Amino acid sequence: VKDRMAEGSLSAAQKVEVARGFILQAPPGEVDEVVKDVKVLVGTDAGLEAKLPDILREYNENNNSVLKSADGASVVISAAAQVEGNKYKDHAAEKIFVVDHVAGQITGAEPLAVDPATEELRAPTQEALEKYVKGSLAAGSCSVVVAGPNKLSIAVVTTKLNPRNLWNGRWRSSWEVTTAGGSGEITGKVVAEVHYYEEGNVQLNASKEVRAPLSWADPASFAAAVAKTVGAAEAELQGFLDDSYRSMSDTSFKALRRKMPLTQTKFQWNKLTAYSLAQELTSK
Amino acid sequence: FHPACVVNNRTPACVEKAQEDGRMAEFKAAMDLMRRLPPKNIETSLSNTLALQPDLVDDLLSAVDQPLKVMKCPETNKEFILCDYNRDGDSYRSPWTNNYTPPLDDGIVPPDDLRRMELTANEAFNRYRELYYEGGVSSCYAWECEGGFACCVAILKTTAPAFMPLPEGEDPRRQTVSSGGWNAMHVIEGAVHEGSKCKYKLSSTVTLSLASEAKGMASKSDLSGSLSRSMEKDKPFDPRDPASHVANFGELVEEMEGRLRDALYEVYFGKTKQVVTSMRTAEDERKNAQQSLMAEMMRRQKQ
Repeated sequence: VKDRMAEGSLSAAQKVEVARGFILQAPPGEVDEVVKDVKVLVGTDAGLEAKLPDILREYNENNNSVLKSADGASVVISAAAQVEGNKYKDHAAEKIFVVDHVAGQITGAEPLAVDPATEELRAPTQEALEKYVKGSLAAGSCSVVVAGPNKLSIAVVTTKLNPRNLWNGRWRSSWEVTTAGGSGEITGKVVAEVHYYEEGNVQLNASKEVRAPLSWADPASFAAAVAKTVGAAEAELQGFLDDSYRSMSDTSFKALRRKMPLTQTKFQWNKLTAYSLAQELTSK
Repeated sequence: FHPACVVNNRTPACVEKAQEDGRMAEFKAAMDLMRRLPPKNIETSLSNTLALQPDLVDDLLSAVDQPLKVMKCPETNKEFILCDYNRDGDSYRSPWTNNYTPPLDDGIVPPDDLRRMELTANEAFNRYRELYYEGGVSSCYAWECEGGFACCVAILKTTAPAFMPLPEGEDPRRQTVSSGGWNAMHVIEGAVHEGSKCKYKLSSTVTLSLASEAKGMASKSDLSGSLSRSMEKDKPFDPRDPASHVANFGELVEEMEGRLRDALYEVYFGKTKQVVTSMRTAEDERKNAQQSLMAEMMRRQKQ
């Protein structure tokens, strides 16, 4: 560590890059605190302030943050939903929302024209996923966005934030579906993150990748196929986590340190004296 | 090399020092950041933080527990742990020979009486480690401190990736492989008073990393982090016996490890799992919950 520092201090651009790296790793619900810490460490003359909107845009897109407005509207942020700058589309709401990434809020809205051609597949898919989310996720959000002529981009996300009790969690999955005349492919990733920080720092990070073919006869069966794949993948990650917790606790954890020695008695600290003296004598 | 007397992630001595040097805000920001960034990246996070704030190097290296590393003592061929407490510049002192690698002409070594205590501690904790860890490496380093002495006990154990037995007839894609690592860092500060009593302050951090993967399901999981605790106890001690201090703080370390092991189990396999379940309810669980509810309702109807 000390070697690296001997090379001289960082340039402004390098400092901003370090800051970006830190902020992108912020646990769910803790971005503001991480930004605050980073600002103190970077100082005021590296131009970090000007780069923050861009860094937070990246954070929000990576994590499918759900931004809200004062009057209850909400939008799921994703790279595919970005129209330009700080504007993100929400087909179901028929709106383009303007957001402030730093404040973490919706600041305005514009109308979004509905394209009946793409709505044919998009709308029933969103409906099917919303039904899935309602049944399986606690206070979850989802959005299906037209990402290209034959491409839909899907985000499913929920967070459980409890900073008062020093823990936060996020469950999300993001998908891309290519559609070309009756058959296509769905690829995606499911991610579970938990941060517990009472008298410590413990983090869970689990993920599952999916790539599967998709075929359908009509929009309804398309929507059903997508929802089924998403639901099955999420259920599999949760099942894997159950297996994983069991194997970690029954196998790895126990193999690291026993609860009690085999003798079923604690270490005999009071017997140290005699042993140590004998050792000292024999080593001379 | 500035050994701090009591160190864990909330070090009073480091805080005092940072205050003195006018770096309080930066120190606090760095410590807060270390508690939020992913634990498995702590070395990179620490080195990037120090690149931003080079003046914090002594404060952070003593206040933030880094993954323990091991080196072979060139003279005895036995392993010893590398940490901030046996470091002088870029050299590390072997607890076996008291010599530095790479060699130093005037490397810091404990005074004779503490060196004797250190030898006793290493020997005792080697046997303690065999009983509880059945493997791994342990090292103890002592140093002089304002008001008394300080000693650290470092224990490192890892498990190689192992296959978790899969029940008969279970989908083979569900086969998981798990591995883990346990780093314990205990720092004791001892202050003798009234001639035959000693107050021991123990600050401990256990860093536990667990990883699991089911290749057949393209799924993986990383559960890493650390928990810290401290305790204080007054005990009678025999100044004529070099083993007396070791016996006293050894008991505290044993008790502390038991507590931390339980706390880790509860947080890792209880708390984090609960948070996942609070976000998404598995199909089976909901069905089971519904079934139990129905069964309960029917039972009450019959009464």
